[in-house]
Amino acid sequence: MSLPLHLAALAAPRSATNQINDFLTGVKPDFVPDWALPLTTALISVGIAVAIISLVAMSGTWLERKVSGHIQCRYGPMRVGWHGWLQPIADGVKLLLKEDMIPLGADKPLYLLAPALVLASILGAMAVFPLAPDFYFADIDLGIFTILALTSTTTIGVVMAGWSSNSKWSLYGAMREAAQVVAYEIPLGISLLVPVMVAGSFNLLEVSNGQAGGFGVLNWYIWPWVNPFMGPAFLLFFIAILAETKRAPFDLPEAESELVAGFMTEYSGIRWSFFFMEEYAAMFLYCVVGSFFFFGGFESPLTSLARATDVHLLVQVAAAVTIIAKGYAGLFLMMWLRWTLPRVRIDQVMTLGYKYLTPLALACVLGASVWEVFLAPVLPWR
Amino acid sequence: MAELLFYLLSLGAIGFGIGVIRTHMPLYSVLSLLGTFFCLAGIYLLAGFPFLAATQLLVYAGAIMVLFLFVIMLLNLGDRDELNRQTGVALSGPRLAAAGICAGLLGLAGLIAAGWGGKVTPTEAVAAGGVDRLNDIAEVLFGRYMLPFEAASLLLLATMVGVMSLAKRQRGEETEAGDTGWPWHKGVEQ
Amino acid sequence: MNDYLVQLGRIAPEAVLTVLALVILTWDLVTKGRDCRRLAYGTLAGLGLVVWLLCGQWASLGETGAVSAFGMVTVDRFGTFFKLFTALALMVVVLLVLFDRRERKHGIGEYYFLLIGAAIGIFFMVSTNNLLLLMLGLELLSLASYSLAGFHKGSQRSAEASLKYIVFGGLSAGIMLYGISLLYGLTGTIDLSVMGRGGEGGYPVGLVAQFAVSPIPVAVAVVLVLAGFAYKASIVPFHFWTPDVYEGAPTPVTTFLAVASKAAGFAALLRFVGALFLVDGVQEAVHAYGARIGLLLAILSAVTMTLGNLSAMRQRSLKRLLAYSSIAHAGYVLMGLAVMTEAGFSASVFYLAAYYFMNLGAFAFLLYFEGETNSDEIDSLKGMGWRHPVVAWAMVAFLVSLAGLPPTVGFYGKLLLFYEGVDAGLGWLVFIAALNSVISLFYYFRVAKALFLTEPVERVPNRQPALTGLIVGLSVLTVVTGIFNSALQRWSGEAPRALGISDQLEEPH
Repeated sequence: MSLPLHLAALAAPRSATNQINDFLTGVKPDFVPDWALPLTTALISVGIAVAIISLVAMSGTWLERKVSGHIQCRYGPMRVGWHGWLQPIADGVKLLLKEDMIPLGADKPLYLLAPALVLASILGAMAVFPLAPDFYFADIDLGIFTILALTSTTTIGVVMAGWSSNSKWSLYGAMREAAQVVAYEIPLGISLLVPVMVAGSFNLLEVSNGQAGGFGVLNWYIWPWVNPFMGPAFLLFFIAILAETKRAPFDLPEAESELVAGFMTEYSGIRWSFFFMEEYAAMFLYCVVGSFFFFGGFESPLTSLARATDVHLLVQVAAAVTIIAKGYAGLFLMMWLRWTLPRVRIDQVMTLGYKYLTPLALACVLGASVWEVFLAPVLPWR
Repeated sequence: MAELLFYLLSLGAIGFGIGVIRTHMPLYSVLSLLGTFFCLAGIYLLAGFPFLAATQLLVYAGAIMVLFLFVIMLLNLGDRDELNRQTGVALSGPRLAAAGICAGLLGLAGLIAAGWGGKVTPTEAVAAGGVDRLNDIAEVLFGRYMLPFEAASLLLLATMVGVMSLAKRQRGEETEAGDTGWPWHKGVEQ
Repeated sequence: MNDYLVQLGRIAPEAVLTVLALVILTWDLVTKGRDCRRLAYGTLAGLGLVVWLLCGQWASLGETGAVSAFGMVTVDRFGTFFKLFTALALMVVVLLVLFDRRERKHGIGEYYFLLIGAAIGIFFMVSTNNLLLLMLGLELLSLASYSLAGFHKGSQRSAEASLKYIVFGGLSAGIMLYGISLLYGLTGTIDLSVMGRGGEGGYPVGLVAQFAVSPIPVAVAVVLVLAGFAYKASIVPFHFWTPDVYEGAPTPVTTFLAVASKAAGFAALLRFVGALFLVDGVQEAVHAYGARIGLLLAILSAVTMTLGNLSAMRQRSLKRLLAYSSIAHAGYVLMGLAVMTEAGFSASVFYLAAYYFMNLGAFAFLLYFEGETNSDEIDSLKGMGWRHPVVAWAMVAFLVSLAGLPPTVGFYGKLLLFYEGVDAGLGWLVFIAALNSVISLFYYFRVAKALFLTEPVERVPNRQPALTGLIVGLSVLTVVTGIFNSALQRWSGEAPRALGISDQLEEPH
């Protein structure tokens, strides 16, 4: 019944999965068979991940409507709860009750599978990323690499959705998505190499630890005194994640003014909401990744203060608050941009990705590595 | 449980592999191929190579997207019956037999080699090398195997240039509107 | 750092070629492809530098000396010989591109880039004992060749050539990789020298240890790997692509494929067979095994040359005729390999060197002739001998050499091969080869007949003087090296010596 050594190593002793497992082992009645234990653990872990994603998506939709409203000098949702904060729940109920329509000409198995696949990839990525220094599902060396690998499979679901809907709008949206994501994955991965190089690790926890000290602020990788190529790298990263998450000005796969709703035109009800959840979860996830690699991760003055008190739980909470706040700050920035910038054309998207971002990202890596090899060792503050 | 997973994944890989050649819809072929890759990634993970598994996903998910695009763009989408006719007959009896014989021979060769030559089990090498840690991989890749690594990059570059030179329009055919639309590129503005 | 530079110095030719390739690519990009002549001159200059470096390397290496770079590349005279061969062949090919009247005159930076890329592939391929690097080199060569074969995009034949080449190439590369993976599984190493000599017990095990268990898996693996080389060198039964690709590809590319690519396939094959079965210090079992592989190669050789020559007889296109003739010549070269001694190997190397002069010349003539008539049919050759006597007479020299008649270098090469064959007791193979030479006389004579045995017509002014100069130069070399062949013979004898082949195999006779 034992997992092989390396699989066990994937789930580090402090990981949430293991803690759940230990807890369950403690309370397990005798009549429950042994094999049920890992299954239950897995189900609970997935449940937690789904809950996080749902919360992020719900708060995301609310935030989006409020931000867009205020940018356009209106209030946004105001009726359900204080400033409409219960609006997402009302929306959720509405979506659950809506009819789940399947177009007659659709390729049914693919059509049904696509939203699940989209959500599954983002759930998988959730496993790697820590919400607090001691709250994570898997602490593996590959950290960011795994996140990139898993999120890159979202596109497959999107293209499946677009193709199986048997609608021209959907197909156009899907093709744009495929072209766009493949193009922007390259600068995304390469620009992340700059902080990875400085940190010497793919592991999000280690990257965060590498930015400790300096009142929780001064050692963030984004500062030019750490590595001057970090700023440009972050800009490239941010543009790339805008395109990866299909946010304006790169929202061509959905482009509501030309493609109705792009690849999700034909979807309705709860399946449609899966795409929505994925989008907001992906945005949040990428923002959190950005804060881990450029903006100190768990490190902030708050965390430093909490650490000074030496209370374990306080440190965890402060770290979690820090990273969530950073994630939402990024989310807010993305929304701000959406309601500010006009959409670009698809050929411009391609040109920008291949001809400008990719070479610039490579140049950043080159410059940063030169800095790291020749200058970083002699800098007094490094 | 690990063994059970291994057999499940292996069966899945083979099943999807058969699906790649047996299905009538090209898009299903691509999806089956993807399924094969996912199963292989699972096997890599079981064997203790998470980096390889992640790379498999990252690289193939990207490559498969391009395949998707090809399938969607190059095939006639309007008439699905036409599509079935085009690809469904590709596997006639003799061809299937020939393919089966070839695959069988290769498989037999592998079996013979594995069964009769088996003096050394590969697990020893893995245990000695210990390449599932990222730093080890980096050391091997940029140390011992630096030259093949660079050769592979050249290989990709040459392939890319070759594909571009074959695919791009010749200069004479180029239209004036082939600009990027950026204001700093002169050309026809839309 | 210092050690790193020393290692880098050992692969300086490869490094220079890589830089050259990148420079050419960027240059073409920056000048927007309008600078094609200067690109060619730049390529030639870079290749000249590479040749100079290689000559220095040849001189600095002892007869059997070998140094290793990055633990991957074995720098020895064998590799250097074939690198020189490739670089010189590439220079001629670049000249041919420059002189090609039908080639488009701008935006061909990619052409040169791909040619250089293919050459880098060859460089890695011929000078490594590591199967991984060998495979990468082979693939680099192949992938560059696929694109080059289809470089005339407007032409259907060119597209067909590219597609056929890629399908066959993919198949044989797959088979070869499968063989390599079997070899790796059997021995636990991808280093040929370790594989051949074996470790000191334990892991990795040499091939020797595997013989003791059972030779069959080794046979399977070796034959599968041989398939990959056979494809590059167009040996039967992996020759099907040759005529169509040679016909469809642009003529300079055909020249490259017929000369450099083929020689690279043979070089890698020589090193593979040599390092696995014939190196010093292998045991009795391996020798016996080597003899069996030799027999297989002998049979392949007989079949290849016969099939190539018989098919060549029926061709109407000069390009296809030369393609089949190149298959036949692959058979001849394979004869020296089948002997499985150092002397046999050196005969093969000499024949490849001879093949360099005569085949480059023949293809250069083909290019001249295509430029004049826009056709490659033998029938259109009629009267060429009277209209363009200089190149026609040069072509006669190449034909004589290809057929293996004195006083040309082809004759001497064949003589060496026959001698070694008889010496090793392969009389039947030599007999077949001699028979084949007679058959080949027939179709080579047909070309010569088309050139001259018609009504005399008026001589026309020469419109391609530079190409004429090149052809004449090559024909002079063909004849001169045939008469004064001692230097070439010495070099081609020294090349395989670096492989460290023991002559024990001869002892039982």
